[in-house]
Amino acid sequence: MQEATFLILTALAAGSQHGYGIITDVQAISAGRVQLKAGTLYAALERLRADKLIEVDREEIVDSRLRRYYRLTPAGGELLAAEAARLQANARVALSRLKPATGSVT
Amino acid sequence: MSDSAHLERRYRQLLACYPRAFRYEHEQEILAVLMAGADEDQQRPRLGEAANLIKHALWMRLGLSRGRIMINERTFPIRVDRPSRTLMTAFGAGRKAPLVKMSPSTVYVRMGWAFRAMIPRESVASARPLNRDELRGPFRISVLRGVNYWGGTALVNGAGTGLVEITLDRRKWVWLGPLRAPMRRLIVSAEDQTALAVALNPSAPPSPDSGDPSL
Repeated sequence: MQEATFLILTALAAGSQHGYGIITDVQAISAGRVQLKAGTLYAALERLRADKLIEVDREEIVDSRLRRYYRLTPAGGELLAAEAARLQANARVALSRLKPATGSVT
Repeated sequence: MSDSAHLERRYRQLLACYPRAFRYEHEQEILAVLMAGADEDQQRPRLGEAANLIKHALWMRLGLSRGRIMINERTFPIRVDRPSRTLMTAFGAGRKAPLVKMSPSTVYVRMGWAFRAMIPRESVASARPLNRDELRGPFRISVLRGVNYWGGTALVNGAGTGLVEITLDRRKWVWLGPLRAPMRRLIVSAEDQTALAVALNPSAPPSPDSGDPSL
């Protein structure tokens, strides 16, 4: 899974969000490193929706503009959990091997 | 005209690059995102933002929008026997392994630069294992390998065995090298003939559990 996809699913993990909310949230989660552009975001949302990993939660009109809120489907939640576990396992191995055999980590 | 109305008009012009169906569904939403991300006194779309929109719009129009967002998918390698592998490498088609990739929404078939197809899952009318001797017309030539196309049928194979016939419910434009051609029927040689036919069959619901989606 690509990092942008992973971060979009992560942004939706705690609850539904609209497009701009996802962009700012992804930026916050990645500490400013990943700044999604609108074209990229909607290509990803379209794909995730087609693969039934996310779905439309509700629509609102704010300042006469449409806001569509997306949320994870159960399948999306499972996929994110599996991917997170995989990344965590990799990271754990990396960190443990970097650790000096005898001393503690500084 | 105020700055924001001017900017919105510019963004609308950019969004016109997208296919109509996508625009109908998402234009208002994307506009809202673009406007929310704009500065107070911004008058024109940022260059990077504009390039990004045009890129994704083009991908979508060319049927390539699948791009790198491949998730929750299963891969079925296309069978290539040894002599064909040598030949295809010589012609430059064998550098990336030819394959059929399948997500719950899309079927993607690729053989090097010579063949690419992105087929919506719901367009697959049927899929079945096919014997060599069932092939008709020019496809009866038993040594045919690589990508062959005749009358709406594409034969994408690296071997004469393991053939799977995929019938679509309508014509779908696919890439034959640099050319586009309408395709109604696709025959591929699969490593695992039965598994591909079963997985493709519309009656079998796409099950992410049976595959190994992310590893």
